[in-house]
Amino acid sequence: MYGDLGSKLVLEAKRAQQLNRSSGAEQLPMFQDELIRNIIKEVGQLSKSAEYLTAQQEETGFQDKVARCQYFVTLLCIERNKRCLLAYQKLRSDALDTFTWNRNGIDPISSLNAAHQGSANLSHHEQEYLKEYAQLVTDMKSGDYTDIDLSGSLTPPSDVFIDVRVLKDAGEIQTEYGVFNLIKDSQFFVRQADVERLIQQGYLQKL
Amino acid sequence: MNIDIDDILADLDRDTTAVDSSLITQGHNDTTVLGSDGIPLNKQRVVPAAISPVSDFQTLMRFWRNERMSPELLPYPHLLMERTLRRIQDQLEHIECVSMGYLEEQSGSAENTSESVGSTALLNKLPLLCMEADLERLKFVVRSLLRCRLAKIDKYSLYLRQFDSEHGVVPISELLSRQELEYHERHSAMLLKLLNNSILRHMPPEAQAVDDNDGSVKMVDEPEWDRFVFVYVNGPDTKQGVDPRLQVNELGQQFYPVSIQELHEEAELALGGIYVMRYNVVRELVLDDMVQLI
Repeated sequence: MYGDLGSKLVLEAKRAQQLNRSSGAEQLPMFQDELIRNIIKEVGQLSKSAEYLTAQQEETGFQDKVARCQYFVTLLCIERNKRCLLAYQKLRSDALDTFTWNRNGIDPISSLNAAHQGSANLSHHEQEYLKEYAQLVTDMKSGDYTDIDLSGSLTPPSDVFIDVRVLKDAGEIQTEYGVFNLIKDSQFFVRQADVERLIQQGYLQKL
Repeated sequence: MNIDIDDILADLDRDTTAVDSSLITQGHNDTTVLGSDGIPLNKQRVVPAAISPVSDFQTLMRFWRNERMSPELLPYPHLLMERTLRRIQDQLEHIECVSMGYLEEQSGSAENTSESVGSTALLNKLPLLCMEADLERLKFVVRSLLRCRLAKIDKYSLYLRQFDSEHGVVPISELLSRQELEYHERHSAMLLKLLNNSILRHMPPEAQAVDDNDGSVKMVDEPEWDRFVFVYVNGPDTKQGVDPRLQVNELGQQFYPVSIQELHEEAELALGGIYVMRYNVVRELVLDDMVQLI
């Protein structure tokens, strides 16, 4: 029936959502190009038949109750397909937003695509959207809110000093508050505010 | 025969505290900056008797809690946030200056004796640490608040777009700050562009709207007005006199009468009590700061 493809797409969206929730890793599955194109084709057929029905109705003078019912059901099918498509796309764009907030500004934006292993998983409209949104987030952070780092950690700071262990080799990296020499498997006892970004980037592990 | 002289004593107390508080504010002038004292507040809501960093912080915390719990987007506290942001900036600079001075002092005295260096370093470290930790916490609160608001703006963006036309209650410029307004516009524009390009373009023209409320399902998400929230009834500010809405029940307890529409039932919110209520029932009281969401 009409709308079956749409529910398949929504099931796919549901699965992606659960995958995201369980693993926590920002990884979007493949954009369902094929499926979406099929649904759009279905919508095209539906709208063609809706046009045909309206033309027919005009001939009979809007009297035919059966034709009216047919027209209404066709419209509902179109609407349902639209809902499924929009829900899928919105879910993906929401995931992209979360990704931008969590990772962006910490890595330089240019490496956004490199950081996102599944960059090929996005449709090119989505890639464009991701770029624009990253720009928007950067603009937001640089306005009046420079002093409070908007993309910073959302867990409240409880300790002033923490122990961290270096997870991967990075050489001399820290610049803003002084230089650390990050050698793999070394430990530091440092101020939390200094290393928060390095923890988010995955260089350090909090103990 | 007892003569009640509490009011006379209170008068005397007030005289002395006036002197004290002025001394205190003078003493702390280098660390805390009293912001925007020249600007008269024309709103009746949340007017602290004197604007001080402490009371501002308390208001901020209350606002933060309300914002996180309420289903709707609350009006942006423009003046409060302005003052807070300025204080953060000033405090940042202050910390910078103190730590610079501390470095010079250390290098200067290093030539003399090594023992005095350690002691002065220790003496200087503690206040510096406290100030930095304090600032981190304040920054966290502001960050969390703003992120929470941005998430709500994303969620209700279509609802906010039709806000100006239909509900003329609060102008959108008062509801959102300037940056939030810009964020809202740009983000909804780019989201629309994405949806248009990938989906809506292929739809028949009558199904191309994203804010179609006439279809079988409404496409504009409104806030869940009847979501249940926990409220704590803190009552009016003691300085502001008596609230006309406040009533006294047969037990001598003060309460706010509220009526629950769908049940046609009256409920009493006693002062100091904690209730689970639908948000639309207590909305007015939340906006007037008589109850807090927790």
